[in-house]
Amino acid sequence: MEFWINQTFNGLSYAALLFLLGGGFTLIFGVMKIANIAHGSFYLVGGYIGYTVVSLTGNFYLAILVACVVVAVMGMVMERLFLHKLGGQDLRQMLITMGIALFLQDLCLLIWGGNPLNLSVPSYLAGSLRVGKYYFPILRIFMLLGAPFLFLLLYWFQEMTKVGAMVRAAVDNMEMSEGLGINVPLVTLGVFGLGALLAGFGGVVGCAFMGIYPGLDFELLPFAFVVVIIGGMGSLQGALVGSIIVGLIDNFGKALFPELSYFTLFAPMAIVLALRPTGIFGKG
Amino acid sequence: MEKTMQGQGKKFWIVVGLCVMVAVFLGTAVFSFGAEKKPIKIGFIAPSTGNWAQNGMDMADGFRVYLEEINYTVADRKIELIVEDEGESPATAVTKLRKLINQDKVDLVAGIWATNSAYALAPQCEAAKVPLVITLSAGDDLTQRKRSPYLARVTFTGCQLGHVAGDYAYSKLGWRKVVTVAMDYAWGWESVGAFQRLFEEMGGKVIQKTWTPVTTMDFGPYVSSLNKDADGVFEVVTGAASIRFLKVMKESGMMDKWKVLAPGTAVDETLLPGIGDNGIGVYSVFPWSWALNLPANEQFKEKVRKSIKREATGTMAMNYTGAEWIVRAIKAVGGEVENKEKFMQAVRSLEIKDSPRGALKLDPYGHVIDDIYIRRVEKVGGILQNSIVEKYPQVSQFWKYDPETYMKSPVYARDYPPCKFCQ
Repeated sequence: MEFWINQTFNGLSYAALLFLLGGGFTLIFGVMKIANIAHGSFYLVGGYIGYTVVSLTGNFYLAILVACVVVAVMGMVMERLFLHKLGGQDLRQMLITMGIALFLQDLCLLIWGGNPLNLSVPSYLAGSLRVGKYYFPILRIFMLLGAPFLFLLLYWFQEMTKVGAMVRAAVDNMEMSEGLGINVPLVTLGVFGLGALLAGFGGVVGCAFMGIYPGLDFELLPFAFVVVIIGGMGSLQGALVGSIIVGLIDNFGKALFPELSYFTLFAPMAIVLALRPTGIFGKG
Repeated sequence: MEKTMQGQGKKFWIVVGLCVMVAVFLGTAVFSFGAEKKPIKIGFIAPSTGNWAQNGMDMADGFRVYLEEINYTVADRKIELIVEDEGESPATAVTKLRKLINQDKVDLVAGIWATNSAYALAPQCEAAKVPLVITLSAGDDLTQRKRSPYLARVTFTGCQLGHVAGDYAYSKLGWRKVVTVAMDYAWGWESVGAFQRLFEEMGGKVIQKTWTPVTTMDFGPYVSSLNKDADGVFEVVTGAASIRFLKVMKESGMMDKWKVLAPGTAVDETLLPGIGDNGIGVYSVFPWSWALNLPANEQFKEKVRKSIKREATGTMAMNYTGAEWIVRAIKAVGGEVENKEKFMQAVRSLEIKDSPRGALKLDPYGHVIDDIYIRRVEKVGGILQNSIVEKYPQVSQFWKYDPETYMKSPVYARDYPPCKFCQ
């Protein structure tokens, strides 16, 4: 029993982090139809900026705010300067995101050095909640509560607001939306910024959760891929379900068959690709 | 008229060009006659990208601090250091080594961070007959069953630290049952294997062995499935992963329950600021510590401060002594590194009594015999350090076993020694 409770808790809190990463990734894919290779770098930059703000001011929430804003602006500048002009040329756009990822990685190494850094959270988030023989790290509880809240917020935005409707229209049919007077380039720009923002947010939380160091960007990227492929490219619900599946599978896989941890992570992806290539929530 | 002018102009420039060429030729000839000796080229392999980038920079920095001290000159010859990136995989390291050997024509190779890279590079150096002095990486068999006359290692290796850890865990920490958590590659296997052998020979039991992939993100699942009946945990997690591992250990309450023992790279000075208070109380085994109170160590720390404006780390200390070792050997052969047999003989027979780590010498198999320290992470004046708890003087890679008998059993691996007491 102890084993199952501990592992489920761990798996779900990891899923929360994966959702922050996968959610932004899937939003960007939905609108632009490209896999944004620089997504891990957004996470990395967000984490580093969060770390810097916390070291300077000691304020965790200010760190989240600054990181989100900086990364979102960075994402929008990147979209406008490099991706916008290549509208529709998926392969070139993807190659550019690859180049930007490499550039950002080296830039971070230059600015923050190669030392692994760990962000210190406010004292009420550090430590663990003890219930009987169970220890629940408070930061993980914070993530567990924060991620569903964020999902609801995004879901509400996408499904219930007028801007959200424009986004959905742009995802479904870009030309038709333009014909209806929707400013598609602006929508694309906004969604790219939002996706980057989520990654930056994930970076700050992730930095507190498991530290940050050069190379983390490309270590996390496969997880974003797996989450989004299982859940369905471009679907927010898909990202949520995908991250829960991946979080739990990765966790129980490691605990039960530590030797097979890669297999347990990528096998579900292969199965989903074989049976339902669009992912659980993806559209055909 | 114009044409001839042009022609004359051309001729003029040809003559000038020839004169310059002759002058340059004569100049270099005279110069090289005067200095007589070519510079000694040392190829240095250390990661400057990827997960271990900072460790790699510390390696090169430590090495350079010593070379600066001797002004890059030994036995009237200049030293030219060529640093190449080891990256994260042995494949990258091998490419860079080939470049150093074939293109730069280096006289010897030093450095190397990752144990698996070392296993890949050593045979290449042996084949090319280029001396290799490892100034960081481990890899038991490189100085045991697969030893080479062209290789020496002046730092540490998995079994050397593992044996000491096993002895200390049983006799001083009083552990009887232990769980191990280690990264799933040669460095983890060899450290854990050595620990287990000694610990179980003394009467202890290893009741669970957990191997974690090198790229593990979240250690939560591994830590929460550790067997709670144990008295303590022996862990071999290095690099940035060590920060995450210790954080999870702390948050899951394991650090309150257990003591943690590890090879020193888990709490290297490079990592301590990142690990923070989560690391307090961790015991580790290593041939150096920032807190080591030796006159030579104080001087070394001062030189590092002056030269690179940072505090010294274990990685720097290893490479500083490594550079000193190489330079003294070059001096011993009067700068004649081209005579490789003679040079390697000098490397093998050298002894340094007053290094920042204490006294060093090599065994007949090419691995260092040195003082190994048990350290504990403590906060002194607001700064985390590895305080010295105990010293094991002059430890051999073979512990107290007879080398030849020792090498008849297989090298420590994932499944060797087998886990008799695992449930």
